[in-house]
Amino acid sequence: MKIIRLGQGFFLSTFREFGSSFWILIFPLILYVIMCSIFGHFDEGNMGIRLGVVYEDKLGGPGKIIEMVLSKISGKNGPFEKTEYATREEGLEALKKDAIDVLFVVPKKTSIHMLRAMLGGKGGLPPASLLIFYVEGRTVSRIGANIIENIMDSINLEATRRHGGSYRSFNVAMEPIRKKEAMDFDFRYYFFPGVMLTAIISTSVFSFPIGFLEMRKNGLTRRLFATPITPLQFFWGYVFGMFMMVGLSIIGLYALAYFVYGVKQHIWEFKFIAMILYSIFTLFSLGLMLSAFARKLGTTVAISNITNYILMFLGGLYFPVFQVPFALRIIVYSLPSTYLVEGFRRFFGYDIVGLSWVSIFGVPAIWAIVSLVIFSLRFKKVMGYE
Amino acid sequence: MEEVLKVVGLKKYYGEVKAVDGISFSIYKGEIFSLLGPNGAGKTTTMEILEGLRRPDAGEIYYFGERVQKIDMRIKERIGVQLQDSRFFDYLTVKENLEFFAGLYSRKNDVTRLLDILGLQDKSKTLVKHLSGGQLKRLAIAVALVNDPEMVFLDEPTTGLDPQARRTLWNIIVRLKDMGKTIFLTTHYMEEAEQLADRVFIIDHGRIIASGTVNELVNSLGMESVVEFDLDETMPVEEYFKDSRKLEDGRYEITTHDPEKTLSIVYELARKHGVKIRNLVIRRPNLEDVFLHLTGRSLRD
Repeated sequence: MKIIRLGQGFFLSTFREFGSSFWILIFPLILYVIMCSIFGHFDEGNMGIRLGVVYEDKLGGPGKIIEMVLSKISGKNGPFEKTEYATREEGLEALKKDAIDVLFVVPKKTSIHMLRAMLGGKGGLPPASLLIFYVEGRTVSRIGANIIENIMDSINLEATRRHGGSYRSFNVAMEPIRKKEAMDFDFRYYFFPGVMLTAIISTSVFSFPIGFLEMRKNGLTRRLFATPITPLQFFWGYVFGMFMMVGLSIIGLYALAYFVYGVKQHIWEFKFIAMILYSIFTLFSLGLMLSAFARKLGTTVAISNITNYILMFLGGLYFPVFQVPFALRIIVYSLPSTYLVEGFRRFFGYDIVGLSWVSIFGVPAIWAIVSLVIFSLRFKKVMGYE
Repeated sequence: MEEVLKVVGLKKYYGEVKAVDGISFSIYKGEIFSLLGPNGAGKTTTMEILEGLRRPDAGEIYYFGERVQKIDMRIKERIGVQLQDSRFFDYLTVKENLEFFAGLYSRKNDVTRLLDILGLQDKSKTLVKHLSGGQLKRLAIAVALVNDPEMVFLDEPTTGLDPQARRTLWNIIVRLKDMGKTIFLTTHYMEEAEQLADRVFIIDHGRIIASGTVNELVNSLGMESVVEFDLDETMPVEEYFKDSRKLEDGRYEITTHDPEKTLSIVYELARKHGVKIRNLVIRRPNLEDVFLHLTGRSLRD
């Protein structure tokens, strides 16, 4: 009961203080609106369907037509951004990891098959067969595949028109890749977990260390210890108060994402909500560790800021960071936020580097355990009682 | 009389510094007990040990007739605490702060009544960050009373207040005594101790150097009067009077058994040196004189 009472006091006090409530409640909403406005707009202006191409055959003769057509529809000339892959396996891997939206494979002997087809199908060879792989359930992938298929059909029609009935059309096979969770790449979904983690990080790396330090310095801690409460009640009361702040922030973000941006898929799943609670737990633990070293306000604010930016930007909350230089990549792969945000994005089908679920939960757990041990060892100092 | 608190041989050292050096005293039900001493004498440390905010290095503490090893929740439920620099939730109103603190105790006082007693009724919906110094001190006392305590600790409750606000708080403290509360008051204002305290313990360098009622302490000096005056030019007063001194504000002070004779000597000297005497006052000795007599220093030093 005392914990709830303490939590209410801390919550109300933090909620009414503009500085705290701005960073925890308002800033994430503004950030989400800005991110969606900027990147959502870019998305609309440029379809940018990412096309992967694998030439298993060195095209020559009539086969060159395919290569020319693909060049015409890529880059500035068309809706596709073309990337070539050496093997079909590489291309499929890229498709599974959402690096491309659609994969077009030109199999071996395509040139010779097409040549035969133009010559009237003599020689007993079957017609050429081109392959288009797309991700089942992803609209952008399906649209890309259909466009390619239509273009290939147009080539067949044109060839038939020029060569008459003797022309044997090449086949275009559509191969769906099963990927249950896959969704279209959508910035509204992509940014949602990042902004949500920003709100949690703001609370944990700012409110915890600075809050504890300020209360200790200004004497509120002493005043509270003059009442019949234990240090543990004080601690849990504070955690509860901050949890309410973060909870309110996440509710606000959910409301904005759901009602304004139409982010509706997966976010109500139990596993997704459990992931939020897990993120709060691990990042709050990190905040507690920072509290363990907080002595001077100026130093603490500086450390909190640095930690905040590292967790946000090197943790890849807004942009993929797995291609940064090696030295920075070490930091990227050691941060809890990297794994938490990737964990959330898995729910939306975005799996850029294929982190395992063990690492997604394991690395933040290691951070949490280490942080809690350090905090426990310095509990008395942090709480400021003799 | 019922003993509410008893302290025997209390010690608290910080390295070489003896903040509290073996002090002993008892406080009885319904009295205002004052610990008087200059800044750094050990008043606040003593009080904070008794409030459970610091641990003593040695000594025995008896609360409500029972020896206690630690000031635990049971004791804290029965005492009220006003810290020297009390801080509250700046973004909660006066009433919300009171309700918050009341919620931490099992026994509760009526918050509206407290607001009334402390004269904070019209500020009940004001955020604490907007309160003046005097209002904050009154809130601190109100918070100390939220659990309807048997004993109230007031640590320099009027420090930093203007004379009017100080008088207001003195009236409140007297009212608390009338309500039957036992009050432990620390102060470095001798007027405050003289006005409010039933018994005064004078503390210096962590040790009790004198104790008793104000009258007992003053009478213990064996002085009858103090002669105070200004001079328009300097004159070697100290050469003629052994028990004289020059105050910080430039006034002279002479303690004497025979004020009439002292006055005549002072006038004679003034005439001889061609100096004019101004603002001459003859008064009874006070606690300041007691402290001066015992330590050779002023309470304000």
